Amino acid sequence: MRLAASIGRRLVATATLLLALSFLVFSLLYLAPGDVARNLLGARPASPESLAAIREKFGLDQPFLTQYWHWLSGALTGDLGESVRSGSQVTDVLGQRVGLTLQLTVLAFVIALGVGAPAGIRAARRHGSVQDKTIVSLAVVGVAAPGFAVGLVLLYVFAVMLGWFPVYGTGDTPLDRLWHLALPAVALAAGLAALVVKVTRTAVLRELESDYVTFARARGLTPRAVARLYLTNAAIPVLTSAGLLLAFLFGGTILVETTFSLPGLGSLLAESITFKDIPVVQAVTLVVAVVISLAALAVDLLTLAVDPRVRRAGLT
Amino acid sequence: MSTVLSARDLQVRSGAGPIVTGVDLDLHAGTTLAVVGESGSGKSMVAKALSGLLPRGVHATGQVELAGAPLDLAGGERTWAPVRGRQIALLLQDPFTSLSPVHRCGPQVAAALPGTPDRAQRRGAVAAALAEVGLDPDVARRYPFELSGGMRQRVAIAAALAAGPQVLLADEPTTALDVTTQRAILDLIGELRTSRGMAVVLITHDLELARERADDLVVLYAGRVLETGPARDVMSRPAHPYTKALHEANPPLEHKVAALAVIEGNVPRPAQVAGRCVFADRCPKVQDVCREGEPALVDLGAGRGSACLFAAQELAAAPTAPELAPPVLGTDRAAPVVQITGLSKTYAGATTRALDDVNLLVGAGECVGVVGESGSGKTTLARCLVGLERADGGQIRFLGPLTPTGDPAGRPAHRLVQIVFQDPYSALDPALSIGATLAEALAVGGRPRTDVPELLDLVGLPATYARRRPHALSGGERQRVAIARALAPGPSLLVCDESVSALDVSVQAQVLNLLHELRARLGLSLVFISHDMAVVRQMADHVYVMLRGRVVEDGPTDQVLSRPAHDYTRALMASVPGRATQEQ
Repeated sequence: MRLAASIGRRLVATATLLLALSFLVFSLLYLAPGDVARNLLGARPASPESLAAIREKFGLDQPFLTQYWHWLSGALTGDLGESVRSGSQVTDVLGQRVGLTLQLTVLAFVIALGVGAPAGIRAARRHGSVQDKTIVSLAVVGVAAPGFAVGLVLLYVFAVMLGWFPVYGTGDTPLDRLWHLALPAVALAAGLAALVVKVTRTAVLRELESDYVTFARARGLTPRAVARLYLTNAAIPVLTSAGLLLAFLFGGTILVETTFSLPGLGSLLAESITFKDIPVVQAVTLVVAVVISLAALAVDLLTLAVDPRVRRAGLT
Repeated sequence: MSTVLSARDLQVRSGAGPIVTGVDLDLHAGTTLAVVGESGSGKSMVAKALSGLLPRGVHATGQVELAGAPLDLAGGERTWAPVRGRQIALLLQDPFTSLSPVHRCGPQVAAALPGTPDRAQRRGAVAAALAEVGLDPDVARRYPFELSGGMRQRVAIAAALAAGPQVLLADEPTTALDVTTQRAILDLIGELRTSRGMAVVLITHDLELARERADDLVVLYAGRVLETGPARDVMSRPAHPYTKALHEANPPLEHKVAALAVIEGNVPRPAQVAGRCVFADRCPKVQDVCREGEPALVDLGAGRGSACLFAAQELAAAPTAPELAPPVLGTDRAAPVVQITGLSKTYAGATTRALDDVNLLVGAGECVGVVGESGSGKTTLARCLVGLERADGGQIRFLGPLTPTGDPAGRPAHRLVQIVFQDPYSALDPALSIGATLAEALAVGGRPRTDVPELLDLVGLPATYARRRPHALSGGERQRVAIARALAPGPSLLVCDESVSALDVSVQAQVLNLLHELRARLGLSLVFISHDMAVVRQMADHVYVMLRGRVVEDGPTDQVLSRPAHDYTRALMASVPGRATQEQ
């Protein structure tokens, strides 16, 4: 009962957050410099007639909140307006781009966790050793190096010099797609993996120092059984931060997609900003906000599954 | 009586120097050996060395024989894997942290069971292990946080004994528990020792507990054995000045003494006192010869040994009876400084009341004791008194005039009442010097910074301490600073919330004497909150006994502790370690 109420409260909180975000996203229209009607006209010639038409079409003479309501109800029914640049429906533009970015981020996320978590665990277990220091140093480099820089290096070495991977393009068959996305995913994952290493290492180190690990060893539990105990405990903070890391990942896609000329959401956002295509910028921002909020929600629900104490006390 | 484990010349060292030197131990099946020592004595390191769990950078040497076979203390995992759990098990102090919080109790107990493939068999084995420690089989499906401290420690004992060890090293197994629970856990360990024929090593700071529970004891100080022998003989006729001083510094439960005997100074680090008697600096009977070399442990016969050059004289000396305090016939409660009526408090989300209709009175210059176990509401009461919590109902009235100097009533509350907390390590800001901490507190009372030396002198610390930071001070010194900080604004009432329970016995006596002295000198009234009945006996004029948020009994200390009227007070008194043996 308490659990259900707690999950219910969390869902309401997510919905409220999304509402607030949508308001901010809509405000982008007015925060952008210059006249709104002119901005919405984009590169088309601005005659008094066309400006009046735009004002009429977007209801710019109505109060701000009314406009917001129109926009929001449209967005909820899948109508995000027209792209200023191409004139086509924003939802169609998004639809063409979203799949690729989704595949890219999921792949990067899997690589980051798959490499970062084991490396972090190993570093913690060999705390103070050469291995630990090497892993930590690599992680510092990974955090510091921007994704596009890593991308350029990867492109040069593996695509241009060695020719193992394609320089651009998205591939046709699933396997071909994987081959094309490998380098960008690695570039995107580098920084993320470094963060995962740091979080995992700290979490495991803390658990290793706790009494229950000493007690488990004192009882003669096998190293495997002891590891099962502390890894479950250490998973909780790693999971919690994974949600935040996803946000980090989306920021990275903009640069990485541009570097590898991939037609995804990131490059769409970059192009749309350049062309002041505000409806598309709004839509992409909204999608990213929704994804991040849902990821945070998923993390909370996962924490419930892993940590019995949270299950008992309820989410905060 | 067969010897299960014997250790000769056990040494533990780290890069910074020796931690434990020259310890000999003999563990016999079915008996308990107590290793007694204050913090820094190295007693926990002995346990860690004997289970191969020393921290990184700390190494042990010595000849150890376990069940007739030599055991290499410096051996790796291959040496220790078959020993841990199966032959030697270690039980830790804090049952709240010694089990994994996210795993159910059943699997944690089962993990150490010798290979049982069948699931039903395994469940049966877990149920049997839980039954042996007096728990229902359904505890297996519970998480540790769903259990009380006592139940958790029972689960931990079941887990420690699952693989059938011959030696149980119990490191302060009841220190984190309430007195009544403490007794039950110690009884359980005693029963299991007998039924399983185990050898138990009881590591403790509590002499009375050692006397009550152990057959033999070893007194450790600064990493050295100062005295060994049968527990009762050692306690009734100590053969080392340290044992004697430690015994005398222990507040008696049965009567109030004029002043507690103290051991001056602090426990030194082993490296500081190498090459001489380690206790020389604090010994009241020290001679020049004590500093010329390290006295060896001398065999005194009857299984006793002492590392004092004057052991024979010590042994021959009649035990000194402490001077009793004049009986307190009753304090002046007609003119209270604080009157609490009908105080109630329920924390958000809690189902039970933390405080339930509490009435309490503190007379002018009186020390009021509040005793109770964890969850009794005594800390909530303290926090309400100083305004850190808001009560839901009832009233706290501060009445004047409040000090002998006749300050008018109506001063802000923080100048009327101040608090000293339990843990001196977290109560002081580590980034501030002692002087800055005190100056800050003085400013609150409108006093100048130049009063810092006077304030330090008041609590018996030299003025030079103003420049130090908390980390350079010992626990007792920090608690003195915390008291000085509380006194800085010139309060009339001091609330001490378990203010001495984190301190070693010898240091505790110093702080208790200081509080006594301050009370007389400044005309302070005290609210002294404690779980320790013996300490309350020494401090309080009037005592309140709390249980689940309610005051169940109150009266003059002598009356309540000697002739308790409520069942709960009787149970509390009966649970105090050492009580049973004193009555025999």
